[in-house]
Amino acid sequence: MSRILFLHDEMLNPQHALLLANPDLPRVFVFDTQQLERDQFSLRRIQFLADCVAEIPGVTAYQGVISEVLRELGVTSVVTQRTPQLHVASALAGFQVEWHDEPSFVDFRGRLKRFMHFWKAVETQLVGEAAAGRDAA
Amino acid sequence: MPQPLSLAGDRATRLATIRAAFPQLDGPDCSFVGGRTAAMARLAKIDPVAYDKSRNFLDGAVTRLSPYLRHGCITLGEARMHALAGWSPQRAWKFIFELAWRDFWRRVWKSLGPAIRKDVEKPKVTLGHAPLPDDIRRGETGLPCMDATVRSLVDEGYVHNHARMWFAAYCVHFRKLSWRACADWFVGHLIDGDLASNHLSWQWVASTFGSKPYIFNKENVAKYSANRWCATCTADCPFDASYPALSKRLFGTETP
Ligand SMILES: Cc1cc2nc3c(=O)[nH]c(=O)nc-3n(C[C@H](O)[C@H](O)[C@H](O)COP(=O)(O)OP(=O)(O)OC[C@H]3O[C@@H](n4cnc5c(N)ncnc54)[C@H](O)[C@@H]3O)c2cc1C
Repeated sequence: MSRILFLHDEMLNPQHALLLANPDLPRVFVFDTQQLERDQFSLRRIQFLADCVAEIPGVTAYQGVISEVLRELGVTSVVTQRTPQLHVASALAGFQVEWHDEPSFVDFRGRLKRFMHFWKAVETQLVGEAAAGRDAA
Repeated sequence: MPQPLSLAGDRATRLATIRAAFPQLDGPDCSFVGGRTAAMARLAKIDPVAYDKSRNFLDGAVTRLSPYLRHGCITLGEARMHALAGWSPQRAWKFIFELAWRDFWRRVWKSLGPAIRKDVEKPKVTLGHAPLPDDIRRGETGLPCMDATVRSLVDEGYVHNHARMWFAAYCVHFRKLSWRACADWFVGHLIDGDLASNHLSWQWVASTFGSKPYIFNKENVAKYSANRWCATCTADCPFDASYPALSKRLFGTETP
């Protein structure tokens, strides 16, 4: 198992583009004991994750520390979705990673200030000319 | 070789497997069924028109899609397209507006990185730094509205947006607790727990990512909760005052 599709907790969709594009890659999900404890995950959150993972065909789930589990499995290279979750990037630091962008909701390249500034910039894209301009209150 | 954790079989078995794998954790089983099938069923039930009218009320037509969006079971784009396929853009407007909040917070997280856990801006009022006390953690503050919020947070992992705002304002401004300590604890219980939407909302309430602190009063709770607590409440209510009076009490000025 040298190359895998690594599923983290922001991409738990059986129709995810990376699953469809890589039908032959082994699919791995890890209940990361260190992260779950550090981030104070409740039992219910972990059960929710388990439901999501169980619905994706062909995924093997492990419990442990991500980097250790992958190393023990003989993984050297990983395909996954980009995420701002630092623990994912740190866990995968010792592997060759092919990061893919997450699906985009809207195109915005301006400077991020307040939400209403962002909304005014993207509103027409999201609701069209005719509906744009409504008072948010 | 690491041993796989078997999640196959029926849901009851799966939940029991997780319970056994994490023996240090307890409480009731997860009432949200995870996964895309459940997400699509929930999406099929949304009513953007009722949502628009009632979103701020605790018994309003909110969608409870957040756990599914958080875990990528469905995307924001799919939720938007679903609304636009069934309703005019005018009718779907409010729902799409709220979806955009999630996208906005996530962009801010990406630009901040780990700094999301620190004050983004200088607070506009004096904030406290006290750690999370046990009465909050256990939902034993003696205030029925706040204790009910803790119960639904801990038992269900879901709290209505308005109740999240009240609770955060109670912790940060009325109790002068560290927003960070509260946010770290709160997010672990939410099934939709997400560093972007959670920590930045706590910062918005605190005024470290916004132009002023968010506070609320009893009238607001009574109105948006359909009086579910206030009608029978016998507590010495810290929220029973006008906004200028509360602001003076909390921040020393009527207009922070
Ligand atoms: C203190 C505090 C903490 C929060 N923590 C989280 C969190 O960890 N994860 C999370 O997803 N949301 C968080 N929120 C935002 C919001 O409360 C929830 O997204 C919303 O209550 C989820 O319920 P729903 O799906 O029924 O929302 P609906 O009102 O039905 O909204 C539909 C979708 O729009 C998005 N949305 C709506 N309102 C907001 C908002 N204010 N900010 C961001 N996205 C929004 C969500 O993805 C939601 O699922 C927090 C808000 C506060 C005030």
